[in-house]
This record gives sequence, structure tokens and C-alpha cells, in this order.
Amino acid sequence: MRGTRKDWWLKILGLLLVFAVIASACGDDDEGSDPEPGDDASDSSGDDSSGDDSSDDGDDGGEDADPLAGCGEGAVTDLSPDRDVARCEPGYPAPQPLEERASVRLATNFWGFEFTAPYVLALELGEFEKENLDVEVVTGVSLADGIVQMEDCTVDITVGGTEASLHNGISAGLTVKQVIGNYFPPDAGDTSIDQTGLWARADAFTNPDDPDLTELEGTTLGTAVALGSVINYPIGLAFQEAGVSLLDLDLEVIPSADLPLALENGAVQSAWVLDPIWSQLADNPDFVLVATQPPGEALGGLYASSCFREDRREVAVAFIRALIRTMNTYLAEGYKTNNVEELQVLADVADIPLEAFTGTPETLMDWEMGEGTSERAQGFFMEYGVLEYDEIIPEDQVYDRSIYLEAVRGPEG
Amino acid sequence: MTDTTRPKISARSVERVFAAETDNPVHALGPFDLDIADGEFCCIVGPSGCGKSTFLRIVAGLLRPSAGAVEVDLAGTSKTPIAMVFQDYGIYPWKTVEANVRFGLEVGGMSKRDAREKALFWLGRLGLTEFRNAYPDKLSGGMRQRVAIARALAVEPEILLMDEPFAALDAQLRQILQEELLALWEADKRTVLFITHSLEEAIVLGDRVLVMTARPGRMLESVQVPFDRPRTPELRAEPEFNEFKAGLWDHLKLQVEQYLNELRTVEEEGDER
Amino acid sequence: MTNTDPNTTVDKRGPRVLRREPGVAEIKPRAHVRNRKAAERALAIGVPAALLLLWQLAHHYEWNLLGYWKIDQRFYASPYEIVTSEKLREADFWRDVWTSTRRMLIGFALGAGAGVFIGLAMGMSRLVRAALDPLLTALYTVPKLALLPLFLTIFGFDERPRVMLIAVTVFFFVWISTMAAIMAVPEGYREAAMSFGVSRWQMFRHVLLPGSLPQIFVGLRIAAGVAVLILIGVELVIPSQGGIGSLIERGRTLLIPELTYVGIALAALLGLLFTLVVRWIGRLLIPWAPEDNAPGQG
Repeated sequence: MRGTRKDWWLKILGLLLVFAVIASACGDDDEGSDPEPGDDASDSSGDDSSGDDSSDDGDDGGEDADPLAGCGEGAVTDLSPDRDVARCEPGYPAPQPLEERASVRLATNFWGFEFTAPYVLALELGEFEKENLDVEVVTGVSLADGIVQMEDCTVDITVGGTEASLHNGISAGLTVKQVIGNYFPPDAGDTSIDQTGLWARADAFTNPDDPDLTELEGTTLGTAVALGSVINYPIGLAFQEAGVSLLDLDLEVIPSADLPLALENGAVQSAWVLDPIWSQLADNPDFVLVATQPPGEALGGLYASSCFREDRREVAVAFIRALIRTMNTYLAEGYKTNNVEELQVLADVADIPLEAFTGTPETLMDWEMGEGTSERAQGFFMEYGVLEYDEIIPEDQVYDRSIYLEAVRGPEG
Repeated sequence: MTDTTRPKISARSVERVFAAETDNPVHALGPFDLDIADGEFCCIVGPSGCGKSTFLRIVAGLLRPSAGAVEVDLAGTSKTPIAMVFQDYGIYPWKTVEANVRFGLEVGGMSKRDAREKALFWLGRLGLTEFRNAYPDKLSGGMRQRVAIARALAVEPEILLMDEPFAALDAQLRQILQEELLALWEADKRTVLFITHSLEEAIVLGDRVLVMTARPGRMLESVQVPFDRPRTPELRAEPEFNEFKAGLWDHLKLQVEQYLNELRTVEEEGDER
Repeated sequence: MTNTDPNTTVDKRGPRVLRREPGVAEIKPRAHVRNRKAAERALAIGVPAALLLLWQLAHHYEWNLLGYWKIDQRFYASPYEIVTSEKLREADFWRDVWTSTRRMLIGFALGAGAGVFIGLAMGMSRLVRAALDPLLTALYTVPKLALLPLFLTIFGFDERPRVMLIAVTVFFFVWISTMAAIMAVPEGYREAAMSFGVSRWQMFRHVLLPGSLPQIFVGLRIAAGVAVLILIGVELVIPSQGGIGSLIERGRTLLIPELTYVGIALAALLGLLFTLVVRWIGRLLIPWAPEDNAPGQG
């Protein structure tokens, strides 16, 4: 009898514990995942278009004021490498809230880095909210996994580079296409300015001031990613110009943050080093920047399958419009001095000091997809043997530019 | 209901062949015929490997005969009408003494409380009450065999099958357990089929002693034991006891020698190969 | 007395007769054993074959399982595609398979050797046991894959961290089973040997080692399976420098499902073959032990 009573109490205690754990886990979740769009949004974007109470779903702002008024000639470019990046005025394209609230699930590997700023800030500063969008973010999802999940509409839109997996998927009959670009370094193409790019040990060259890339043949190159990653397009391009193939080097996959160390101790002679990690190598005569991202080319962006691009086009346009507006409003040229307040929001999300952002050069946020990037990247992927097909897929099967065009030009494109 | 003229156990032309599917089948038993009356204490002796245990296992239903049949006539409705005590005890080291005794009752569907009550009763009768919470590991061989007997008797079987239960015990302990078994049997006179190597044990315990031939085991002789019950240990000292035993031994000896000869020829055949 | 007395045979609640009669196995022993073996073989081959067939069908007709899981041909490879995959004809591919095999064999050999050695020492000596048992028991529970960063720091980015991680994992399985095996050698065997005045070495050679070998091989076989597990795990985490795990990961990151599935099938095959080899060696070394019924038996 005594034994059973004791057991009884133990069971109750156990159950209570389980409930307590579950309850606290749920509680954390709620607090963590619920952005508070209202206040942040209204006090940070005091320009126009917001501010009014939008209880009547944009009746008063919709017809008379042209939502595309701030998107002039400069909102669309000729996509050439030397173009000025496309821009609208801050606050444009203005919100055109959906009649019915729509939910969008965004899958991304990273959250809180500078290159994630457009969607992080659109969420945190309420730009999605203004379109009557309920955006749910799933982090830790690679492009390949996101592409697969978009095909049965589990995920609406996903983030990544113009990678081999994207092209393999399209060749296998997936409906994924790139719908918006992301960014490129403003000084891309100029190795005299320290930036993201291929960094090398100075002692790998006979003349470090005028480095000859052929001298890297047979040496070890450190990279954070495998051959199918888009980064191997600019690397390959740099070596190609010197008449060397990337395959003539030994590749060593090393986590991004460890690359400066690997360069320092000679484990690798060169490495593709990203923002802001390259700043550890800048101003150090032991290392030289030997190649950069090609100018005027965003090497990635956001992708969507037909589930989103076609079946829910209106929602897709609203989503992209919010992203473009965020770029124009908070991330236009000079944002590191003009938009410190918004950068602070990003720093809080990333849980790093603001200086990590203000201390590095700006990147050019670009919603367009430059001409030919996909096809040129495919050429290199083919050489690396990471594609499952032999004929380059034309870029109109990879890019869907119609959505961002509709966002800045209106339905007729 | 029980028809007193019907034997409790009747075996007809029972045979058992092992490895029958191979080219070297072993004919272990029979043909073997036997009737055991209700309430009879029947002892089977025979040389090693003569199929005594095989027969017991057939009766218990652990093994099927290769030919012939055994019929067991049951009066009651118990789920466990036949209980068995093994030479190596067969009690579970992971159960306490009491849990071991309860085991047969609980798997038979008895409620936990009734099973406990009954188990305690039988533990008492076998002098195990104070060890009821011990694990068998802590007990001597004699104690363990008492647990096995208590477990078998607790289900109150109509038939108790015992396969050389005391073979592993020393002579003194063996004698004590024999007396205890006799006392328990006298109390309710169950049908017992008892297998042993020991003629003396068979005579002290049994109403009847069956002597089996060497392999393949057949019935050599069936002898009624002429001593009155209840029997006492002093019986062993009586001249009649020893005379009777000597008579049986003569029969058995021939069989043992034959068994040894057979072994020898097998070895020689092996050597020739 | 007849065997079929209608009054006494069936009534379950009242008096009844139990009949012990020959069954099929006794009446036709050869046929029975033949049939049973045939049935076992049919099951051993038939069940996997049936599953493969189901998989093939599910793939071919793009079944929608449970209304939720659609077998999309673009994401799932069929058994036929795996077996006939172009990849299997590429030299690079087999280089990866060999890379994995080599890592596994070296890692297993190192881990098993150390495990048997330490296990024997601890099983035989109370002092060694006292010295190492708490430490090893504590380390035993550490998930070995979690040690990878540490090993990368110690050994650098070459074969060593991978091989060592396999070795360490194998070590713990073999160590525990070896120690337990030695300690489980019955006291009677030891005393019998001591009564003949054996030396420590003779005790080991004639009693402890043979007495514990069957158990040691159980540990080795488990470790063989785990070695494949950890091998693939390591290669998934650091896919550079090849291996089956990196093929699987490559297939995933490059969106080439066929490659992933071929890799998984090969990993399974590698594990099966390796386990069989270890067991076969065990049979050769311990002819006295009863045959077990672990997977793969014909």
C-alpha cells in the first residue's frame, strides 16, 4: 500500500515536470518568434505612405496617390555590368496591402548577417505588415533543401546563391526560379580596395604587388563551400583570366571564420574570404587581395517555385515590393551613415555590436538579376563536374524578372 | 467424473528420434509402453542417455513423440495440470523466491493477492518463508530446489513431473529432500513421475520402479515396491530393502554394461575413420 | 481403451485428455526441415525484395503515402535507378567508396586493437580496472561525433581526425564487451587452471582468451556496424576529401537525389559486408561457440 502511494506521487511529480518543461518551451517560442511590427515600423519610417490608420485597407491612399510615383527611370536598368544599381525614392514602391491577409513562409540558412538585411528589416520594421503579409521565417535551411520544400508548397520562398543545385533542380524539372537579386560589393572588380574576394599569402607570389595567379597552381585553396557553390564562379573567373583552372588547385573546405587562421599558418595559400571576415586580413602586408566578385553582378537572391510565383502571384509581388521598398528606404547608398537606427535593429537581431556593421564598407543592395550570371556560372559548374546535364540552361528558365518588374512598374510590367 | 480404471498417463508405442532429417538419426526412445495410475508415484531408472528425460518431456508436452502417442487423463480444469521440476532448478535468478513461486500462479491467471497468499503457503511448507524476498543467487542448491518444488506444487498440478531433481545435491541433503517430498506427497497423493539415476531413491520414493533399457530406451522391467507407506529413512537399513535393491541392480547393471559397450564401439568406429 | 472416446476428449471445462502425438515435424522430418529452411530463405530474400518492389512501384506511380508524403520522382530515386546508376561506372565514385572503406578498416583496426587490449587488461587486473574504469565509463557516454571539432584541432584537416574518431568509437564498444567477457569467464575455469599451477600468461592463453572470445566478437560485430555509422556521420559533417558520406552530402547540396540514394545504398552494403566479414572471422576463431542468428545468415 505504501509503495503504491509513493509511486502515485512520483508519477504526478513526473507529469508536472513534463508539463513545466513543455510550458516553458512554448512560452519561449511565443516570445521569440513574434515580431512586434506596429511601433517600430511607424516611428522609423516617417516618410510618407505609413502613418495613416489603414483600417480601411488603403482606400484613401490607393487610387489618387500613385504608389509607383517614386519609381522613375532609375527603377529599371539595362542589366549591364557597369550600370548604376536600380533605385526608387525612399518609401517606394508604396505599400498596396492585400485585400486578404496572406501568410508567407521564408526559408533561409542565415539570419542577421548584413546580406540578410532586406528581409530581416522588412520583417522587423513592419514593411511586410504594410502589405498585409504574415511572414514566417524558418532558418537553417540550405538552398537545396528549400528548393525541394518549395516544390510541394511547404515553403514559399527561399534564399541562396546562383548555385549548381538550383540549376540541377531546374534541369530535373523543378519549377524554381530566381525572383530577386541581392547585392554586390560597390567596388567589385577593383583589387586595390580591400573587400570580399580571393585573398592570398603575399609570399605565394614572386611579386606580391602584381600577383600572378598562375603561381597558385598546385597550391591549396581554402573555401567554406564545396564546388557547387556560386563562389566558385568568381574564383574560377579570376583564375580563368590568368589561364588556370580552379581544378588545378587543391581545394580544402574550411569553415568561413577559420580561413584567416588557415592563411596565416600556411595551411592554405589562398582563400575566398567573405564580409566581414576579410577585414582581419586587410592592412596586413602578409596578405594580398588578388581577385574580387565581378562588377555589377549579384550572385544570389531569393527563389520561388510555381506555387508562389504563379499560383499566388499577387502575394509574391507584394512580398517582393516590401523587399524593394526596404532596400530603397533603409539600405540605399549611404545607409551606414543615414540609417544607423535601422542597422541597430539588424545588430540586435544578429546579437552583435553595431560597429560590426558600421565598421565595414557598404554593399550595394540590388534587386535586379544582372545579365548572364547564371549562364556564366553554369559554364564553370560544368567544368567542375557538378552539373547533371551538358547543355547550359538559358537564363529565362532560371530567372523570373517579371515579379520585381511588376513591383516597380505595375501589372503590365 | 474420473474413471478409476483408466490410467492417468498412458503411453502407447512412443518413440523419439533426434536429428531425424539427417543421415545420422539418433533413436533415443522406444517403442515404449506405460500406464500410470492416478495417484501413483512412479520412478523411472535407467542408464544415461536411455531416453528417460525424453519421455518425461513428451509427457510434459515440451517435445512431440516421433511415433505413438501419450494420453494424459485430466480430472480438473486447471490451466496448469502438469508441473515440472528440473534438475538444474529452472528457477529465475531475476525473480525473488516468492516471485518465482508466484510465477506459475500469475501466468495461470490468478489474481496477485491470491497468488501471493498461495505462494506464502507453499513457501511455508517448504521452510522458505524467511527467504521469500531473497534472490535465488543467495541460496544454497538445496534451497533452490525447494523453491523449484514449491513453484511446481503451488499450482496444485494433477501430475508432477520430476527430472532428476536431486541429482546435483549432496547425499545428506538429498535424503532430507526425499523425506520432505515423501511427506508432501503423502498429504495429497498426486500422480508423480520421477526420473532418477539412483535405484535407492527410486525404491524409497516410488510405488513402482520402472527399469529402462539402454538406448533406444524401452521398458525392461516394471516392479511394484513391496514396502508399506508411510516410509521412513530407516527403511534403507532393512535387509529386505537391500535385497530388493540388489535384485533390481542386476537388471540395471546389464543395461549399463550394454550402454558402455555401445559407446566403445562408437568410439572404435570413430577411430577407424 | 480407445484413443477416441468422445466423452473425454474435448470439453475444456471438465475432465479432458491431453494427447501427445507426433506433429508434422516428427512424421516427415526431412521434408519439414527442408520446408522450414526453404521458408526461411524465401523470407530472407522475399521480404527485402518485396520492399524494393514496393519502393519501385511507389516511385513509378508517384504514390501519395498517407495523403501527405508524395513520392516525387524528381526527389526520390528508384531501386532500378540506383542499381543502373551512371555513377557506378565512374572511377571517381569508386575512389570515394575506397576512401571510406580504408578509413573504416584502419579506424576499426586501431579501435578494436586498443579496445581488446585495454579490455583484457582491465578484465584481468583489479588495479587496472580501478584506475581506468571511472574515466572510461564517463567518456563512454560522450557522443563521439561531438569530439570531431576537438580532433580537427588536434590532428588538422587530413585523414587522421576521421580515422581517429572511428577508432575511438569502436574502442569503447570493444573495450566494454571485452572487459565484461573476461570477467564473465566462470570462476570454475580459472580455478581448474590454477590447480594446475598455470602462469598468468598460460591462464590468459588457455582459459581467459578462449573463454571470452565469443563475447568479444559480439562486441566487435556491434562495433563494425557502428564504425560505418560514425564513418558516414563524419563524412557528412566534413565532406571534403571524399568518401561515401560526402557523396550523400554532395547529392543533397547539388540536388542530385540519385547520388544521395546510391550513397546510402552503398553505405548499407558496406556495413553489411563488413559485419559479415567480422562474423566470419569470429566463426573461424571460435569453432566451439554456438551459431548465432544475427542478420545475413543463409
